[in-house]
Amino acid sequence: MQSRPTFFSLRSLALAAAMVTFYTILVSVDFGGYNPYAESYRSRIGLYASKLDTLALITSWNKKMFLRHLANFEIPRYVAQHIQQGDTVLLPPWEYAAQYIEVDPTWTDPRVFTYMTGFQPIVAFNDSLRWKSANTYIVLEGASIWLARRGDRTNIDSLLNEYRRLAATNPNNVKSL
Amino acid sequence: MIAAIIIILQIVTGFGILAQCRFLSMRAAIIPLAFLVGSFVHSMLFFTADIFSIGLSQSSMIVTAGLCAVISHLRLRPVIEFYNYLVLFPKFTLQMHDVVSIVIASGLAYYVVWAAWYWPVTPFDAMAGIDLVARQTVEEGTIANRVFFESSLTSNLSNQPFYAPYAMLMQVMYRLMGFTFGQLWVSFVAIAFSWIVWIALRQVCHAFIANVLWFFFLLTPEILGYTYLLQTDYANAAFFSTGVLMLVAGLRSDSKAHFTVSAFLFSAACWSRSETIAIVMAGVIASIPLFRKAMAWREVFLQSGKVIGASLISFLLWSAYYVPFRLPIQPDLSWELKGNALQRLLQVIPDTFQHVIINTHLWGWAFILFVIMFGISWITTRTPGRMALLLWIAVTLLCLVVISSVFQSAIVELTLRRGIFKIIPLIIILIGSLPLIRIWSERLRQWEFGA
Repeated sequence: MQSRPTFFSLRSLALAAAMVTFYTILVSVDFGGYNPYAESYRSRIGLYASKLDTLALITSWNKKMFLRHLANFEIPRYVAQHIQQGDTVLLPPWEYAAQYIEVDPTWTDPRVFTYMTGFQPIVAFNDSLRWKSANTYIVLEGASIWLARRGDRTNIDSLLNEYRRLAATNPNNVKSL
Repeated sequence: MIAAIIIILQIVTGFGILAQCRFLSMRAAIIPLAFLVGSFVHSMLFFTADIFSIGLSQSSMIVTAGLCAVISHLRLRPVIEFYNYLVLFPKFTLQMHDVVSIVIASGLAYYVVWAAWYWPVTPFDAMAGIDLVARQTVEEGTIANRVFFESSLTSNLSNQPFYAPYAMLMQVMYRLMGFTFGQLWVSFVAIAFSWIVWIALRQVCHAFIANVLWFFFLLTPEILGYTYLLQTDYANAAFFSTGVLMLVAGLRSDSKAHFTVSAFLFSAACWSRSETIAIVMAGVIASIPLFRKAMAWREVFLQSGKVIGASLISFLLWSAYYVPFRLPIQPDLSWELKGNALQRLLQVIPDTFQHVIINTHLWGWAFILFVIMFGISWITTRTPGRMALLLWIAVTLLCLVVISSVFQSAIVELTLRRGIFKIIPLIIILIGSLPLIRIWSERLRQWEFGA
């Protein structure tokens, strides 16, 4: 007596065809938005599958980091490159950065800032105990960024007031587990 | 080259441990199971190099991998028995639709591995915690490194670096192996776990239905993304769900080997996310009536104690020893536990259902399919299917809700959402084991034979 069906048979072929059909429908037919698998496949696998050749040409660490993190990589790198001897940079609150950047500005978190640049003389906005040690400030305006120091053209007190005003609009800055 | 050596040594370690447990079943899933167990045990021994101030370096990684492989093979008799079992001539049961499924899944695996290798670490939690610490560990040779001493960070560390030593150590290892972003292990764990789920599904229903359900699992939207994104949750789910499968199999067959392997896997689950200890303990306690049905009271205490004891060891080693005694700063537990838990519970329960469980963009049709199939199965057969699996799913969900109510930073839309990773594979396997599916499986088998 047969313990298992034969590999090559019409019914075996029918099941294989059914499997291909099932998978194809699952990953490619939207059903008017009722098939979450298709959308998910497109954004998580299909996108890479279609751009694999182009992406494979990008091999530099910097370019990959920029592609993935955009402003969250670019701004900390800019700041790190422009820090001078004796500077201690106060990171702005998230709400301030969010005004100028389309992506979630996670770089305002000192951990992410450090992740992008290595250890730098920085003070987190919510680290009020170390506020006094800060002497350099990040200014964003339109698409520009610069570091402001006391005595420059930037009015630091106004900038700090803006930091405080915007931070006060959202007291809940808790990050997840 | 180093990567290949380390991964092979981890698999060999896994073989040794499974041999010592006298685990002689699920041969088709032995390699992925050995990889999961071996990588966990290696990460623990590698960690002891830090405890004894030997330093976490490429050489200590290679030496500990070798030690793991040797120590796990010391008792020769079970090892010989195990390898004899492993090299038995395989029974080829694959059908054409299986080959199709394997080819498709291999394509998915290719892109997952590529994405994990190609892209930089992306999730906030990883950049703010495990990988931030891991990268510095590679430079300084210890987890207690500058990240925990730097004044710009100490007041902002939150809880990210404090609850996931497995992922942190795997990042250290893979960075030491030479992978720029480390996270390739995430996709290896995903492939190993998917393989185990496939074999588990094939054991409970017809291979064609198993393949269909397997694709529902592989393509689950939220889970698919985390097969190449560095987070703690996928690995945690892989260990936890495999642990549950082993425990349930142990209860069905009264096999001590299964309980011992499940103890290792639950221990790994607690090593990959500390709060899992609460779920493991609750699950084991809730399973005691099922244990009692299968064995005498003495054995109940022995087997359940084994599982809880192993989980406690990994939990305490990190959370009660390393974090408080070796790290200069600790997570703020007083802040974490503040607030009215009961009041939060009343909010968390509806949030969990509204924003997480019924969201098909997160879990696809897994929950809907389960409810429909369970309902039809119940109506037509009047039997509920595998109670033990159902119990573990319920306990896990309940514990996730309680954890989200007690801990301030455990947010429903993030922490609880990713905690559901532990449930989805169990739900898919439970669907496959429903009495109704068993009837369909039998009919399909008869049709295949032309009966």
